[in-house]
Amino acid sequence: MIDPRKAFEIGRVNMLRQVRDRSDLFFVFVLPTIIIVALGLQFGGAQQVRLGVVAPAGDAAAIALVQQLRGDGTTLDVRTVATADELRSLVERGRLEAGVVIPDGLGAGLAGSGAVTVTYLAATGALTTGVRAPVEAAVAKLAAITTAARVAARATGTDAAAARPVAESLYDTVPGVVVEARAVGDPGMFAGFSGFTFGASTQLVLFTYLTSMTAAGRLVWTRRMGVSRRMISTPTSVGTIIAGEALGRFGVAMLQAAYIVVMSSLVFGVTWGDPLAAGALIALFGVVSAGIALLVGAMARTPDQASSMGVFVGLAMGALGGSMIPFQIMPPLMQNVARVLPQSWTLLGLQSLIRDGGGIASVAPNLAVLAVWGVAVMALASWRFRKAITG
Amino acid sequence: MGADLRVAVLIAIKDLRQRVRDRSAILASIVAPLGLAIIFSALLGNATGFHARYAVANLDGGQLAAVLRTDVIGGLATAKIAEITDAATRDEALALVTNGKADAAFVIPAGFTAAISAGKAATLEIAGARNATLETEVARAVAERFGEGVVAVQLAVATASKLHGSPLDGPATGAIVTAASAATPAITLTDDVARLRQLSMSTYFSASMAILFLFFSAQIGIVSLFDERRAGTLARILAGPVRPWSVLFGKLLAGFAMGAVSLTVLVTATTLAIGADWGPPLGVALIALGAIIAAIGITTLVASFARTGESAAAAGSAVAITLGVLGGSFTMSTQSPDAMATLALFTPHGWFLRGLAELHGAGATPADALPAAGVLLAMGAVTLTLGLLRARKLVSAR
Repeated sequence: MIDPRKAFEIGRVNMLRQVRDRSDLFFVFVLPTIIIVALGLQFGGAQQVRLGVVAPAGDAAAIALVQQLRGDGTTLDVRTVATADELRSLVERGRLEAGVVIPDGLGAGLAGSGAVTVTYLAATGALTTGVRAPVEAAVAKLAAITTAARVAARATGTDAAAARPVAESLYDTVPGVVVEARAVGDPGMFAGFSGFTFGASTQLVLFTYLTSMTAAGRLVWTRRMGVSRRMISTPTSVGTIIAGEALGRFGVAMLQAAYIVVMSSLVFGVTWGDPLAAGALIALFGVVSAGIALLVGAMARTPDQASSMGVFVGLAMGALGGSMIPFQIMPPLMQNVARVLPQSWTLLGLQSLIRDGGGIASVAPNLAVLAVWGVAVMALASWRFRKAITG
Repeated sequence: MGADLRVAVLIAIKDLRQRVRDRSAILASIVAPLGLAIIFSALLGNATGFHARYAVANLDGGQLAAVLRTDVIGGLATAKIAEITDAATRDEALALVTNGKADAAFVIPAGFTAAISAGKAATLEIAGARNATLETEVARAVAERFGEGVVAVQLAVATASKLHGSPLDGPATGAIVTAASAATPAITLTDDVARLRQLSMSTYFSASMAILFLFFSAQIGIVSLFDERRAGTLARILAGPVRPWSVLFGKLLAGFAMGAVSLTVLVTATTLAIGADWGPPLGVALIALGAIIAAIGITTLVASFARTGESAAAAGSAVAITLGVLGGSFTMSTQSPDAMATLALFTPHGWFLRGLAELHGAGATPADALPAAGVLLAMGAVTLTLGLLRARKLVSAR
């Protein structure tokens, strides 16, 4: 005996209250935009390793070494630093991953017969152990030319200074070892995502849920002010009221999701993949969010309790579900935790649509899990809410 | 003066009691930041270390291939940078990479040693997983370094021939090969260990959540002023022999106490629960003090523009979260682009995290906390002065 017209009206009033509350506008419209911009700026930033170099000015050998370190610019982001102290300060503070100090008189040292020491400055462990290998390779090239020039000069009784340019000019003619590197296997977790896309998908899941949770506080008001009781006294079934309140939460969730989808595609050019499949994922996630909001709204005693509880639960589930730290880099145990949550199913589904294309069929398992979640929380919430307003 | 202070303390105690009974304050000041710090540190685990898994298919029985396998690639395992798995065939090595069992594979083809010895081109194949770019780069760099050793020998022979003006005979070539192979490296790379002035992952997220939620603790006093106004209790307090300033001071004191309790509990709890290392207590205390004052100043200034308790709380949260996003509360700012790192210095969150980082590393003393603590105090002093000037009207009789 649910009266759809009345349920719809209750839902509409709920939506209106959300839109008219100006203090909430920030959290629904401004904050997600700021975070998507921040994540977009951050995107791919950590992929390149920043290497600081202190090099003596006007030393041809040093210039050649820096050029060698720079390579084609894909692995290392080489930045020139004025002094060794400044380099140390930057490395200590994490503004550079590692540093190289080329000593004064590198060229003169190599022209002589002794060994020259180049210093590699980095923290122990971590990423920086990996950065040492490309630095070693760059140093090795210079060392190879120097060794060849020295040995050849000695063998032929020539001056070392004369042998060096010859060795340099012949460098490309010797066969050496050709290293053929290629990439195989699965693409990286960010592959197929551009700029703002990855952030937009995670924030859609985070904010749809968080915004629903703030609506839980409003439901406590509805109960406490006696609005629900007064509605029951009218010829309106309890089922209609519950349906209306659920519809209100769902509407709020959809408003948030629609804003992020539309804003991100218009402003940042994010493409969301197959509209039907993406829409189905988002709608089912909206049902789950609305159900949990209804549940919290039915169980909390004060609006403050509901909203702080809701925000905490929202952030915690968002983080555990992969909205803040990509699912792919979580330790295996935490991935198992994430697999239980509706957030990860929605997020991984949306990301596969964005990256690999596909439609309803390709995200069918995700939709099925979300549907089970939706039915379960809605049933639980309706039962608790019925108790709260009639009991 | 003494009476005014007593009133302020009484008001602060009353406010704190109210907040503690209403569990939402405990949730926002302690449970939420602690819970999120624990979740973040569990999620990130030990994602920082570099450790690669390499597969090697050595299809050449020669001596140079053995040097490459044992000394060069094997050296990575000795240095604990990588673990090495031997594969019998090229396909087996590639399968280890595609199945995610290895980050990259080295394939040393048959005839590798013979080709190099004959002065012909030798090829070394490296197949890296697409999602392991750094590990692949390291493998490639290791292979190239080995290649430079080969180049040194071949180049010595070529240079000598050129200088000599005609191809060298066998014994002369042999002597050069021996000399070049045995030559001490012309350049050595020595390591200088930097002691990071940075927070570990678990400390970073403990600190970033603490400062983020500190703003919610700090604003409880000033926000409750609106509620007291609406409920009429403020008018009744002011009807007594109480100066308006002492009411305002009491409210700020409540926020200060809540913030101090929240930070103390969080520092202790994260140290015990997830091994966060905040640094020398005195330095941490200085920075914490600066952060609390800054949080109170900013929330007071923001609240002074509001008309109701709800809008004051919402605006305070909005400002707190925006500053948090910009200040690196959600992302480790050291890995962010330079522009973001600069932007962070306009936020108390950025200075709080930076100040704590300065307490770590070689020769760090509590005095290293002073610059950040000073900036935080200055931010607090400016915003608090402006805020109090504006908030005066809140406690004036209507």
